[in-house]
Amino acid sequence: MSNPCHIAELQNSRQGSTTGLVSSCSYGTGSRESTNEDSLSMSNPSLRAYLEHLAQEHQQLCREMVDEKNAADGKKQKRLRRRLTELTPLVEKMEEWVNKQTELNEIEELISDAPGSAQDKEMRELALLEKDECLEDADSLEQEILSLLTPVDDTDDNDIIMEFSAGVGGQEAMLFTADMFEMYERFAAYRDWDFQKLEYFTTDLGGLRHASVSVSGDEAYKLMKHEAGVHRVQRVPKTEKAGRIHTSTMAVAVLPQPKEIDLKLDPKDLRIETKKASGAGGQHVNTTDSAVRILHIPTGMVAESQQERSQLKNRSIAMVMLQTKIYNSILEQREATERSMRRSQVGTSGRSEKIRTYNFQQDRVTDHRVGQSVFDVEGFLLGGERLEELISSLVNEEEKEMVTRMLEEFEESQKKTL
Amino acid sequence: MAGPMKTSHKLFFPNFKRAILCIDFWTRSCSKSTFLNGQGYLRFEGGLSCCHGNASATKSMDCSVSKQTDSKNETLDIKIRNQPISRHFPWTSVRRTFSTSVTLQKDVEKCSASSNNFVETTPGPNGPTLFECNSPQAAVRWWSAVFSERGVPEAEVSAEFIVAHALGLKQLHELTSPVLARSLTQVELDIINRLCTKRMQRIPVQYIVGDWDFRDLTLEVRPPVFIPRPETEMLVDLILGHYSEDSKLHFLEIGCGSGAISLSLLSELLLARVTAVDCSEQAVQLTMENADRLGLQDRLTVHCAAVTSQLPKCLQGKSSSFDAIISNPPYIPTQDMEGLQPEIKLYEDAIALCGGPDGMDLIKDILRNTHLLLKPEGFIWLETDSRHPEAIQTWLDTNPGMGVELVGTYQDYHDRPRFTQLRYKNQPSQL
Repeated sequence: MSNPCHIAELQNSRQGSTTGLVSSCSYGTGSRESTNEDSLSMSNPSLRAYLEHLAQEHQQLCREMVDEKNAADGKKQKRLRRRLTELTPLVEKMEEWVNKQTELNEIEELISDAPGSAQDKEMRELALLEKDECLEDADSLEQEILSLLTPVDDTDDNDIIMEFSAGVGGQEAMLFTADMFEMYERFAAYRDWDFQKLEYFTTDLGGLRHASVSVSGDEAYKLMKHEAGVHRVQRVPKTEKAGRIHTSTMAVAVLPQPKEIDLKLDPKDLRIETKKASGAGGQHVNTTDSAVRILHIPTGMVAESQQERSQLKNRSIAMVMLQTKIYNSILEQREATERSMRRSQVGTSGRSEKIRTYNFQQDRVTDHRVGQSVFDVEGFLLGGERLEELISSLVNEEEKEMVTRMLEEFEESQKKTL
Repeated sequence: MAGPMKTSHKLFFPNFKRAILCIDFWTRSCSKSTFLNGQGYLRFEGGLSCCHGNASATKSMDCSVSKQTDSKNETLDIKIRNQPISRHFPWTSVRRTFSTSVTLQKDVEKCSASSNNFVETTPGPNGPTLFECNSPQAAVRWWSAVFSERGVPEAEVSAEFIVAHALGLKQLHELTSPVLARSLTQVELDIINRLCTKRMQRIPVQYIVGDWDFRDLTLEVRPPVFIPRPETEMLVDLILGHYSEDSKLHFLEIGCGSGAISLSLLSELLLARVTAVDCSEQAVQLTMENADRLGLQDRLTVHCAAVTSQLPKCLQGKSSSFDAIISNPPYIPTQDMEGLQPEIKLYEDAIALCGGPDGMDLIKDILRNTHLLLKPEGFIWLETDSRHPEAIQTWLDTNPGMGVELVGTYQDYHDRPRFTQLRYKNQPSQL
């Protein structure tokens, strides 16, 4: 366990020394032009304040842990310990970062103090080298601190259901939907995820009207949730004889599947239906129909599957789809109440938002949320590294946003206590 | 490494699990020997969703077939691309064109006469031409129109299943867009037309495509062995819900048909053993083949024997051997038989369907023999007609010596009493 008192002291001393030792620009990161607008670096005052707040909390927790008054209270002990394990890695990294800053300052001092003799020149070069190393270390520590700050989403690793629906643009939209479907199928293979078709409705020309799949694997929801929304294509369709460029759309929905603990449905609330065979059923009938429909009586929600030749498999597919529907309506409600509490419109973007354009004429894919363009559309549609890169920049963006929001909330609460 | 390569490997080199062999034969007689020449196509179905991109799953092949006329053993050796595949089927079925689904195992496959129950059909003049049916979906439309015109039930899905089968798939929606968009080849269309002509004769779709799914298993089905019904999946649910996975159980199945129940139990209860009997030799053969294919043969014993009021030899001296008896016995009353769909009446074995005047012949025989088979407190699980649970109770009341009591009836998804659970209490007081 680190020494919390030590950190707090250092933190304070650092604050005191800002004006004294280091020039008025931000902490030793002169090479980077970080301004407060570019918010998320250690130079951000509200981030600093927040981190200090956490360090104090950590200190307080340590004191309470050893306090004999609390020793008997098992519940409290447990709560304390949990929060402590959350904070400790963060506090340790902060301590390291602060140490690095001290080191940096010492080096800076050495450099600026050194007079111009030849021997000192050598020293100076060494010091400069050392300074670069220190800066690098500090930067990576900073990154680590930021990612530790990002709240972990419980649903990150959930299995998901992805739905693909053709939008405006007729046959061309359906062909584009098929292209997108294949891109994500390949991406799932690239990530070693399991990709199982639940529904798949095609058209004569090889287009896709609607499809849903179940995807499971590491970070499936974390990565794929950014793919939800409207995707737009601009190209000359295969079906177009006159060579005109068409604009068509398709929509992707990404729904986390509930884990077992998240949702339990009472079998009594479910009504399972199969197609009613005429007459007596059983041996009296030969049918290839194995479709299953499940109704959740309390919510009136329905899911069905006719994907498989076995009734049992159709039943389990329908069950997964039903659970996901119910779970997502619960999540939506929860999010809506949270949002109204915060009185802001931040949160997951609407499903109807246009998120990306695939422009074949200009051979680029543009993501409208990060304003980033990638060239080579065909390569992008292979669903490999290029898609992964774009997704990870979206993930980073989201993490930053989350931390920023957290800081805002922290500042609000600080103002209130004042 | 570029990501998509990973996918293509899987797609280009599938593990061949299922293949459709279509060979056109013609004969040439020459003194003592008859030579058969063949040309055909072999289509593989891989573990993944069939072919992708420019990968074609169709391999063209030349095969030479020879048969000695003096040989009484009607065995044909077919060489496919110089790889001998020995297939055994009666001489008569090779008259014109032969198409079936075969399972490849280490390149050598034994295949019994699966097609001799089919009426020989020629790709009739009623099939569409390539011009009329250039895409898989067009073929589906063409044939589903013909089916519904001629009153063939489940017209559209029948056509879909057959077209999918001809393309080496289980279902049409497994097709990915590039394949969907391409045209059919003449050979594919020939297969489709031939198989659809069979459907016109009301042959069940399951027999035409040669395999069907039961729970998590894919089972081979062939005439006249009873085609597993979806209701029976629920019987297995009931049984699985009752026993724990780690108990060493020994089940007896009476009337195993294609092996659906026994093989499901074996695949889901890894410590269980099953003894299965069926009075039909074809059913016993099919159960064993399905077990072999699924790798479940080690814990399964199959006997060809009939349970009547007397136990067959293979089940004698087995008192207190079994934890449970399971059966989906023939339960259709004799007077209902005439009114069955042509699919059932013409092609499925009546022995597997007809349960005597009240549909309870075998049910009663099972109850009569229970004390010679079951451990005390062991259960009997039956799928029956919806009228039977009540009738069984009545029969037990009037025949109190069986030592069996009815503990529960369960309904199928249409609220029909379909399943009966009975318990063997003790030695019967009298015999």
